[in-house]
Amino acid sequence: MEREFFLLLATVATGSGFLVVVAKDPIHSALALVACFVQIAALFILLGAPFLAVIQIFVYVGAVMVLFLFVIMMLNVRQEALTRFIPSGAIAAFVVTLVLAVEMGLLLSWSSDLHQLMAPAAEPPSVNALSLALFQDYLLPFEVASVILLVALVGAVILARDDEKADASPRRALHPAQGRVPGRVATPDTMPDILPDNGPDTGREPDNGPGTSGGMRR
Amino acid sequence: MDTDLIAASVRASSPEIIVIIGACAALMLSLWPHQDQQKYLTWLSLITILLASAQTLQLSPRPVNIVETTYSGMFVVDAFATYFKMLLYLGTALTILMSGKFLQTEEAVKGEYYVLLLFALAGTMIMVSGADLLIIYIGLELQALSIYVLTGFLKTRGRSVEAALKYVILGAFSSGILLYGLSLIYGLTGSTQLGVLNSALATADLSEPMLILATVFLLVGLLFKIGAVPFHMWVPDIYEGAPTPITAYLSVASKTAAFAVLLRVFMGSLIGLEPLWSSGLAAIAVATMALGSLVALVQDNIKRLLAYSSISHVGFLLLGIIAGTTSGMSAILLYLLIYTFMTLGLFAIVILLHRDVRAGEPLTLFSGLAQSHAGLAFMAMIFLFSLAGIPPTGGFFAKFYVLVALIDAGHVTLAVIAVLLSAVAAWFYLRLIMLIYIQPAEPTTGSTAAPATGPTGHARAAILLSAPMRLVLLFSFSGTVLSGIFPAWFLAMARQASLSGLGN
Amino acid sequence: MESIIVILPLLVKMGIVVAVLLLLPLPLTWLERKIAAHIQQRPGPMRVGWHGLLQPLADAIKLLTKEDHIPMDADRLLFKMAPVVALVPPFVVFVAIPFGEPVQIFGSSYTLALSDMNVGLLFILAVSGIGVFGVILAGWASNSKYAVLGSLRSIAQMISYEIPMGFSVIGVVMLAGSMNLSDIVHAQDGLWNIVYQPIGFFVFFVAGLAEAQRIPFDLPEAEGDLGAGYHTEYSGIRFSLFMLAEYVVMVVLALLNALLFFGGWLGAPPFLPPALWLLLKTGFFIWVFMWFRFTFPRYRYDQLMSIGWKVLLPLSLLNILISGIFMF
Repeated sequence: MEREFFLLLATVATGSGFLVVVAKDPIHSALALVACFVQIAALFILLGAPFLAVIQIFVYVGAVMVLFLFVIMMLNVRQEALTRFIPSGAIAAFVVTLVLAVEMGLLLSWSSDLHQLMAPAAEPPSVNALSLALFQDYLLPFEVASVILLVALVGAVILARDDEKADASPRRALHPAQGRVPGRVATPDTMPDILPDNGPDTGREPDNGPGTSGGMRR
Repeated sequence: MDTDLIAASVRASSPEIIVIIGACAALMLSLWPHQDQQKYLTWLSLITILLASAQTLQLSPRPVNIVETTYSGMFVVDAFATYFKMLLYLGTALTILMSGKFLQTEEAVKGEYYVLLLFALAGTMIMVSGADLLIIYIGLELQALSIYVLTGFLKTRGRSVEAALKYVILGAFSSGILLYGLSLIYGLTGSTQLGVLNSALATADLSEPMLILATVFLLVGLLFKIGAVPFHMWVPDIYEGAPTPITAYLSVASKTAAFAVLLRVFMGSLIGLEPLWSSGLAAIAVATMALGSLVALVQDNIKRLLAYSSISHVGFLLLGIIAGTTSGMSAILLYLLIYTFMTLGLFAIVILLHRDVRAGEPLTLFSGLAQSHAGLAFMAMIFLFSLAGIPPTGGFFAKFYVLVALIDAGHVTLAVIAVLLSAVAAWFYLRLIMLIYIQPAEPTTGSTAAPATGPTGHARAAILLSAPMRLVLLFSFSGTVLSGIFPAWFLAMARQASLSGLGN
Repeated sequence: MESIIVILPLLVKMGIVVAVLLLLPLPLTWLERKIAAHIQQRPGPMRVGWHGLLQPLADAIKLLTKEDHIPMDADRLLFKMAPVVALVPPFVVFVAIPFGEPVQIFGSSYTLALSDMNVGLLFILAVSGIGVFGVILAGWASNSKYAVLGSLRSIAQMISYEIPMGFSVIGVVMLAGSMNLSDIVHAQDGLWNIVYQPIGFFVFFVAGLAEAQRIPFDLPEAEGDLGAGYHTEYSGIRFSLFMLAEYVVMVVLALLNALLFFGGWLGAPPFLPPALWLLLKTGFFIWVFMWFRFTFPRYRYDQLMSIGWKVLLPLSLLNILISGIFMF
């Protein structure tokens, strides 16, 4: 019974994972990712870790993916979805990836440790045990992770916030109509700051050395 | 965990706690609009670092070989960690001192800059003190996340944003590889604690394919962070795009912390696997030195040049690991200290010469420096001599001790190759010195001054040496010179630290 | 044989829950319209049946026979999926909700829950959070400006209010020392949680209103400015599935309010079975939700955000702090 369930869940998870990569519409990709996460949550339940399963759904499906969708919908990606961004040079990269994958697969399949199965846990670990592990044995990683979140928060605010100076700059004054817009919108005159393709600085800078900005330009 | 254990843990990690609290205080202060805000923030950050270093010294184990482990074996306070922390304090403090002027020229004075630098410092400190692969990884992420933001700090500059984006993508990629290695190791040994790994791997079957895979992943992940050769391609782009003080920080403090991890993990707990990684690492070290030295020859941007120079220094440092002895390790520790001094000194001069972001940082910035500013030119020359490894300076002894360790361990061929390649590397440093002393200040070399921007200071304006800048130059200059005059004293310090590092 | 004995009661319970939930909207729409009418001093539906009692039935027949229209350029697959995605999570939530003590029938004991799981409360919060995907998909797939705006609003609203909602129940969990809903109810033997956790209840109630997208927080379907929000383009049976989902979510929230803060099935008067007592409490909260709908105006969008982040979130944190101090 358990085996059949595992095969079912694993198949769907892999299939939807594959769909994430090949789907043309980013929204479809995101939804396939949601399906994949739900399958993984189900796998956790199968492993006897219901708490982890619920957290997986709570955090990844309920929050992270919803925000993903939010971002995808805010940017108009329907246009972007029509252009394929994999250049023709990617074939070499694909071949290398394939060779590496085969190598890894061989190494793993030769390993004797792969076929040793761990005995299942006697009973599903309780929430109490989990909290003890988090706040005693792994106290330091837990606390440092919270600092990481703080840094991410500060960093995101710095990068996303409009500069007070930019608002007062003469550039903005050229567009009197936008003076009234609360500036959060990506207006054409702020776009160059985001896209280096047509940024004012990169145009003038000498192309020195290999790969100065090759990766960014299509 | 009872109260005593908690108290011991908090005490052992008090320098980290001080730095994080300082960062939070700076975050609050940065919200307070005031004319002299930047000055206060600088002082606050420096005082924080000073307090942390005092606390670190106070905690440092008296008999050197004592190792204090807390947080259920995850966090360690030993002479090795203390040495590296002092190095990190030095690097960060000098970076903070040289940032003030740069931010003003770029009109990017924001308090969060100092906050993120302090957080990055905390991350590197945790990496250095980590005795568990998990906490090492988390410290690495804390550091990396702060640096990502700092790299893209000049939001209106395309180059800065581009560098940040590249760094985020490649950094995430390499972290992923590191994590794969980490999880494989965990799967094989059932633990992530370095001490446990050591004993578990001592009896391991070296032909086990999974073990090979895990070692390779772990090694690749860490080599990515230090920018060794097949994984170096991010270094020049990001060094060029990032704000110059951050470039300095990247090439000094980030690298130092990554080396600490590399040493602790590979020379400490994975020493049993040496046959698996040593020959590969030797090839990588040689390739790194060769590529760094050769490609640097054709650069015309000072930051890209320094990027390639740092790549070739990484190659040299890796040789110390290959030597695999205590003397090799202490040579690396000494090298990192001297490298910190000379690199930060040179970056400080680059910042002083930097006028306008549109001009970039072409090599011609240096031309004719000797005529207008003899003192600065002399310092630049000493730093460059030291980077090239020319005798009376610290840089020579840094390389010398690595070579001695290498020959002692029987790797004579490697030592010969290293000497030859550092002769190549010396050429581009000498080219810079020639620019400074022989070339007249004649800026029409092309690329820089776009006609639209008007005269971008052709007649070199008098360079204002602010007090913090003087301090940076004083520290780095005296460090470079003193380590050349009294190398034995510095080496003794490094040796003490390395003894405890191999012990765990 | 063994497995049939295990599975059969499960199937029976599941059947009962699904049947009740599918039929529930019929009386609830009637109730809602009647309450609206009486608050506004008019009689409401009176024609079909006694006092309009058969009105919902007529409405249902009308909806089911309407044309199922799909707009041009819509993402057809997602458009068809969306109502189902919206409907499934509120039903799944009932897996974890207990309705009373185990009962003895023919000598064997049956629990009044599909699965009285260890992490029940967290499960309910997590699964009810998935429901928003239906709204998002509907808005996106319709290829209509109103619908997209509606779904963008609902995303922001869901994310903002899920946090205070989750935090507000932490106090309850601390008091009970468990996330199991039966344990939480048992912990209220004596005094209901509303006495210990007034702030928690307030935050949970308000955030619940927002999660269910009821007035005064029904911005995703604000008919004044967005047509009908995310389901502007829906008609016929698909539209009725959205309505069904909304009613089920409301029932879930009313049930949770009763279970977490008002003692669940405890304290029933002797003449009432405990399960019915719980349903009575639930009915009371459903009535309160409807009463609110015709009493409060809708908030503006910025007000919605500042209530969520600047009022409810700090309040819920304060609640955790106070609970912690008192328990210590």
